Amino acid sequence: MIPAFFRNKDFLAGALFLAIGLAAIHIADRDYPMGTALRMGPGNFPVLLGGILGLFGIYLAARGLGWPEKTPGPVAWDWRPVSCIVASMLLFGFLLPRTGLVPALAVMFIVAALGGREFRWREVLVLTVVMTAFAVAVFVYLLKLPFQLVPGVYLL
Amino acid sequence: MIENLALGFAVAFSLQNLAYCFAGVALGTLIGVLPGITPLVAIGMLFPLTFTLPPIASLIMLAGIYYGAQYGGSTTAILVNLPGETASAVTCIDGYQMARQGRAGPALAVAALSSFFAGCVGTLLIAFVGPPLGEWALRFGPWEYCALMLMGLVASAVLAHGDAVKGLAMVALGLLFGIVGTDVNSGWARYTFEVPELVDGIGFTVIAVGLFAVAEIALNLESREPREVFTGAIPRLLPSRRDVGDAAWPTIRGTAVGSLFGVLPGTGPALSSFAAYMLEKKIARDPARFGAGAIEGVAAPEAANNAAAQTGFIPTLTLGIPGSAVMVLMVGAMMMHGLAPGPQVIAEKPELFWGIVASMWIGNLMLVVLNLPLVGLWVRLLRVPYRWLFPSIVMFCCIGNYSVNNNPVDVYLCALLGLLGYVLAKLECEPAPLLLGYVLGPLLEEHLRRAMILGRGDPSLFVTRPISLAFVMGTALVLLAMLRPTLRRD
Repeated sequence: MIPAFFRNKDFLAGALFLAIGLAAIHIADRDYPMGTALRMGPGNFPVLLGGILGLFGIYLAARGLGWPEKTPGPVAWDWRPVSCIVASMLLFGFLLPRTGLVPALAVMFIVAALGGREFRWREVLVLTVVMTAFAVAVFVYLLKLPFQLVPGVYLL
Repeated sequence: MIENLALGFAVAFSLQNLAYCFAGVALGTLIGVLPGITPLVAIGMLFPLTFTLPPIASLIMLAGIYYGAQYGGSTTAILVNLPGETASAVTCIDGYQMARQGRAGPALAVAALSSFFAGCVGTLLIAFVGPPLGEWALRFGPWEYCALMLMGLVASAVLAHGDAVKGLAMVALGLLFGIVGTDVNSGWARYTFEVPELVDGIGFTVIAVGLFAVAEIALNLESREPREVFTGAIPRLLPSRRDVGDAAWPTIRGTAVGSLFGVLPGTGPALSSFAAYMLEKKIARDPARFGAGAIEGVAAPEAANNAAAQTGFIPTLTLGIPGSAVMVLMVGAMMMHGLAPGPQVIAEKPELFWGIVASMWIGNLMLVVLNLPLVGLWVRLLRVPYRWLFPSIVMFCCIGNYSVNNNPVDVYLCALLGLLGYVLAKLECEPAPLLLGYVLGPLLEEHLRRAMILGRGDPSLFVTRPISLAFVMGTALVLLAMLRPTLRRD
């Protein structure tokens, strides 16, 4: 059983802000000199910001816990679209220097399309071919980006 | 003044700049019309395309993309009842009703013409208000800049839609993102986590595309495809004499409202179109017509959002303080070309400032000429399903980010920021204040340090220097407004 506050938008946002704020303070405090009010060091401003962020985080988290009736409704995650999009971008970045533009785009299109509400193989393949041709024409041919198309093959 | 505008038109009328202006306006409209793509996403996507251009051409093209996309957004609002962007959300109400009554043509024409009128006024305002404001700002010390930035940041968080506290937290988070990289004063690499690519900071396109484009695609895919496309033919494009008469005063009032709101930090086109619509409804003899296809309900908000879009350039170009997320993108573009936005731009690079001002007017004219005859084409574009669009947007995001430094790390970072943006959006945290914080972060820290050194460590100068005090009080006023939720729009 997941407690109700774990789906509360204010609580989650507050907890996230608090965590980031504390991490920022911790790193700045450990690694960067603080300086003085006259000569602020590199650690000064980050600690200030981390503190502000953390305080807002505490307020939001408390609001989420204390007045759940005043906060927006429970959050409903839908991880499939976002993970497909993110994965397709990571794969593109990984593949482009290794296999060239054409395979990288093909993989990117198919993985991204898996995040859609409906996936039709024929459509996705046509879209991939058309847009890959477009990308080669515009980015490689017209804008002269130095991408290899497939391993070892360059247009220019 | 006249010779300045003449200089601007001479720059803008060069064949090259005209071509880029046209390309920007056309691309912007094309992308803005496509449902589910906001002007911000359009600019973020096309941003890398402008890197290779000379600075003036690049900014002219970006500005063109911006108001092109905004115009395209209103076309979508009228024909699909789909507020592609918040600024045209109000246009939907009466515009779509007009389309259903067979008056799509006049609605589109009035939207275009009132936008054009507002654009002309806005351009003139920039030309008249910009230089004196810039001259005034030249006297600002680091205290004034700090206080002004603080006011802008707080206003963007509080006045924008959504929860004000979350907005303020997003500003702080954005300021932290801005710190990542080498500290110019001490040379310390901060929050780089041993990633060599982070030593130069998180790239501007990386953060803008990740938070806006990538996160927005993920959000769009969750909701069902919202579709009731107006597919009927558009019988008559030109508005009747009566339509023009009905729309004239609302256009002028909308322009006034929009010009005012555009200059205020953090408000931008969205709030201005809403305010203009409410004003028309309030002073109308028969308020019941609103929501049932009143032409005033199209003219006023469209004029307002275009006027605000134009006058938003005033603080951006003269003070270097952007008021809205799109203006942040413009500032980012200037910085990428090595131009520090601020009061010195008008004095040192008059051809840039006046060239952009003149090209905005030309761009607005092109929009009217381009859009009205091409309406049939835009209608056809509306039928492109989103499942074909979104992988293509992802492609633009990937290639665009990769090409900036020819490095996959930027694509990885962009993907991860997209994930963060999605999570934040699900928790109802607006990304615009974060982006503003990210851009202003390094500037704010720099000026804060300088203020402390010049003031020998004494912070009281922030409230004893009159201009700085005024900005501090402005900030306090905005924070007070936050406590009175009636002043805010949810």
